[in-house]
Amino acid sequence: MKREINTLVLTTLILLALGALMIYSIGGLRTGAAGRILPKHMIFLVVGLMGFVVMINFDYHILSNKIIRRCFFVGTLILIILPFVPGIGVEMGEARRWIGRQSLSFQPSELARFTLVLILSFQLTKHQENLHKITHSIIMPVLILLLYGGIVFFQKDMGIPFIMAVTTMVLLWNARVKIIYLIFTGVAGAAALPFLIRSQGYRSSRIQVLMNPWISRDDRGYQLIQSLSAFYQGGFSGSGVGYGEQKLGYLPAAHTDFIFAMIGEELGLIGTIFVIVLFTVLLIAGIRVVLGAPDLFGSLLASGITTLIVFQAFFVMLVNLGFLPTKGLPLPLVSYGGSSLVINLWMMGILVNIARQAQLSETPVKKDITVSLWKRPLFWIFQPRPLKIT
Amino acid sequence: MSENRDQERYTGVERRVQQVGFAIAAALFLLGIQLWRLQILSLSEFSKLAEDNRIWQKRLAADRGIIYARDGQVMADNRARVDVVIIPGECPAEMLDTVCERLQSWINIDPEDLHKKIEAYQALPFTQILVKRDISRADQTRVEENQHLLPGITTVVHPQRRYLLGETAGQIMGFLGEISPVELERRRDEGYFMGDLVGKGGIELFYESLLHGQDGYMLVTKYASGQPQLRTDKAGRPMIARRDTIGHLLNLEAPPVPARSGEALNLTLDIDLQQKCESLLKGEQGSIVVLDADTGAVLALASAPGYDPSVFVNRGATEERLTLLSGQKPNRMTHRAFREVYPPGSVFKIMLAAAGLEEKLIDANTRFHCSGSYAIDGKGRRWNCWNRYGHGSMNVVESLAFSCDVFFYTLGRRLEVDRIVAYSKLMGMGVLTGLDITGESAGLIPGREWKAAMNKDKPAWEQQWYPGETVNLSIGQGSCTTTPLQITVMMACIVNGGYRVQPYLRREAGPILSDKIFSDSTIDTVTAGLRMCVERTKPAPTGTGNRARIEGMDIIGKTGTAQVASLSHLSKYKKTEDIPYPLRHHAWFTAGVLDRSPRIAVTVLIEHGHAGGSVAAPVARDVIEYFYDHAASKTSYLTLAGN
Repeated sequence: MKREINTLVLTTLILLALGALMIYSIGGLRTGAAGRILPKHMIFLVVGLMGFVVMINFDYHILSNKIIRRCFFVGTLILIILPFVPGIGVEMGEARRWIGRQSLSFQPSELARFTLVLILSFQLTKHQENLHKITHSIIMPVLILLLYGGIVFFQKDMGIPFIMAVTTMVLLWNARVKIIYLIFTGVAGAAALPFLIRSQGYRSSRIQVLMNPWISRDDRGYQLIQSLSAFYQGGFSGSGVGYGEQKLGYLPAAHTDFIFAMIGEELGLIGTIFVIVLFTVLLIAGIRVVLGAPDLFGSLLASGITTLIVFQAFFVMLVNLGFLPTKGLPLPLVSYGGSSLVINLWMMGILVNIARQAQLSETPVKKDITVSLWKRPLFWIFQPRPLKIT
Repeated sequence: MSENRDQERYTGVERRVQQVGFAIAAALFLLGIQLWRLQILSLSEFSKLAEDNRIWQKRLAADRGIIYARDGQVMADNRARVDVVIIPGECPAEMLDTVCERLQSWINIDPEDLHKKIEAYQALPFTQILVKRDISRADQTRVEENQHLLPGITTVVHPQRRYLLGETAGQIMGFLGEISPVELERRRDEGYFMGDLVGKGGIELFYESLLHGQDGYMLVTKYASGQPQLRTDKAGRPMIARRDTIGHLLNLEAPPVPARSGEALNLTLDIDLQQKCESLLKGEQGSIVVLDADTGAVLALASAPGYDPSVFVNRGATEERLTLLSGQKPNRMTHRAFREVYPPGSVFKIMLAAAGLEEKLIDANTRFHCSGSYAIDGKGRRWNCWNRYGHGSMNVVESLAFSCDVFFYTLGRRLEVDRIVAYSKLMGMGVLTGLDITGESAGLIPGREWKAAMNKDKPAWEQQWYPGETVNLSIGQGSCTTTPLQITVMMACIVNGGYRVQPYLRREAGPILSDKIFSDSTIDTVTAGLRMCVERTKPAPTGTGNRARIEGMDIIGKTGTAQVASLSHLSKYKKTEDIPYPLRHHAWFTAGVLDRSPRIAVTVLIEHGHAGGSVAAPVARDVIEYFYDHAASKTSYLTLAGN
């Protein structure tokens, strides 16, 4: 498992560094508050990394503790309702996703993604013997999904509920729910999708724009065209960090939703393929952790976290390339955005911890004496410590 | 501590997990392929887009064309409007309050308001924020002299429409307003943009494409969210600002293409005459039309009450503008010479006489007897003559002079409705005269087709035209309506010897004359009647238009008193003064001058003046007298006469 641990940590750090580089490049030419994104990003990065380290060193089994689990369940529920409370909630554009103030806000739906994975992993593990029953295998998980996803949906956010739904399906699949149930749920979900889209006017118009962005190039199609244009201008090797032009205001949300397009422009095809490779590596390492996890709970938790991060990355890239309507989702570990960055880093910490637990439960490995010197300062924190077994 | 610690994984978990993994990995691979297509084999449309993104076309608005009157007086031109703007990004933050205070004391602005505006544009510190629009010359000097004390403050010069004559000919000018979305759609190809000012009425609208000119432009490198700024130098020439709204440096891509001003418009209007006519109408509602009878050139087109078109372009006149547009009575926006329609009354008889003579239904010696009333075939309902006691035996000349109704009832019955309609249209009534201005009304000469179309949902007997209606129509009553301009065109036809003219305002738009409609003998007979109407004083009775008479001038004329309410309705009032204003008759007088050059046709309409002979005729006389005493000697008439 040592290889997986190293891979996960290294990949995470490279993605973080790439994100910081892009945010430096995008913010550098801006004036006023819009230009001060790098210091804020660095603060969140430090907070996130601290959480990352803490999570690596805490046994993930603590999460299945009754009290902690319920704290997560209820606490998240309260947090995602808070944006609707006037005075606490922050409204930006048409959406009410944030709490706090305009300058410093927290997006609780980011946390809700993780809480959903946690609760589902626990429940599916607990009822592993009863999964042949539809109540335990489908109805209960879907109800939890509807609870969290539904509230987030009413915050005028469709991206995170969709990621939640996909992750739920992956968890059910990995927990060995009967395929016929899964097909049934999938069909029901797919049938509900058009209604959900139609229920929110602005979303259906975004889909129309998706079909043909050129019909409204100055209006709704603008963002998409600018995004595609960024990829085009990047070409093979990109214009170079800092030389991108789309960030000069042509491409709205260049530092959040469309950072992948900015990577495409400044680092070219090399950069975008590199990002895809990094997420693929994360995926492979994640799968290995899932398979090597000491128990089913860890396995499901790891698969949920991996899906949340990699699938969201995939999803955001599709948005950037114009295959999906714009959603307002950040690219995990890369984009600017405090809540997302911190929560994603904590989840990565948990994933690494599962890998560590797996390493401990494996037959003791020979001490690797060939660890090269340059790795040492970076990985001193990951030296496995003996775990107290109760 | 943990409840799930011992839950072992089921067998076959590897397969399931790997399946999901493969699916996502495959998706990521496809994503890579798409990126390859986009970034390496990219589509050509993106390269054009990239160009469009970076070059910005800043429009340089063209000046509107100048409008001149007959003698070269300027009726509408453009003045330099000086606005004060602030560019917060060029003003040090600690100076801002001082600058606001200074502006408050020098050009009297509200500093609170300005602070609010500056705050609203905080994200775009290099935007030009309007401090005060259209400042006076003194204020401008004060601001420019103290430029060193006002960092960030500049003056910007814009062309602004100016109507120099105020209310004089205001309704003919029309007015300007912001282009509507519908019109923008229609005119987009002509180079119009959102927010452009366009003519909304009168000459400004009719000659919009002529007056508008061609906008120029300059190409500027553009940065994303910023908007290029345009400034003007002291002479009002456009200059590119150094920075755009978010502070990026700007530079010109190519030499600017200057704007081409709109073409100048030369009108045939005689401003002195126009002013005279408008002063004659002061206090009344009505209009005066003066046409050059030989060409159709409009010499005066007065309407009262009028408005000053400046209120539509000058800021701060909101109240006046709203009053005008609210449609309060009397309506000041409607030109009463060509937009409003009135029953013509007795002036209609000129056309009837000419038509009867031309159709050879009567000749100069045909006499009908007027006993004071008329009945179709001598029985049934009786139509009264205005003279209850009857005129006795009358020929056409006398009938025109004394405006005998019974003669024309009889003549109208001989002509029948179809010929009346045809001749009306031939002489320019009930059809558009073709004056080059927007908003002309056609009026209405009712006929068989019109009645059938009006009542097509009703039973057949209501669709049918009855002889009684012809009788009404014969003296210009009933549903018949015309505009004063149409009556003038009809009069011009008599004055110039039988040619229908098309009136025109732009000097280059005319003259357009029809073929000869009436034979000389017809014209001679009608002229004789109209001359007698003005000339005859002795023996009694005098001509109805006697008050228009000027010694030594060959004036022809015809009075008209058009009923608004039926006579029986008015009979309860003992004296004219008792009749409520809206129920009084309209007073018409139309006149022509034969022995002077240029020959003119004049029509006076006084709304609710009650009697054409006593109210409208003296006004026409004043107009004619003024014209030949003052205006006709101008060189502009002499040169035209030479053509």
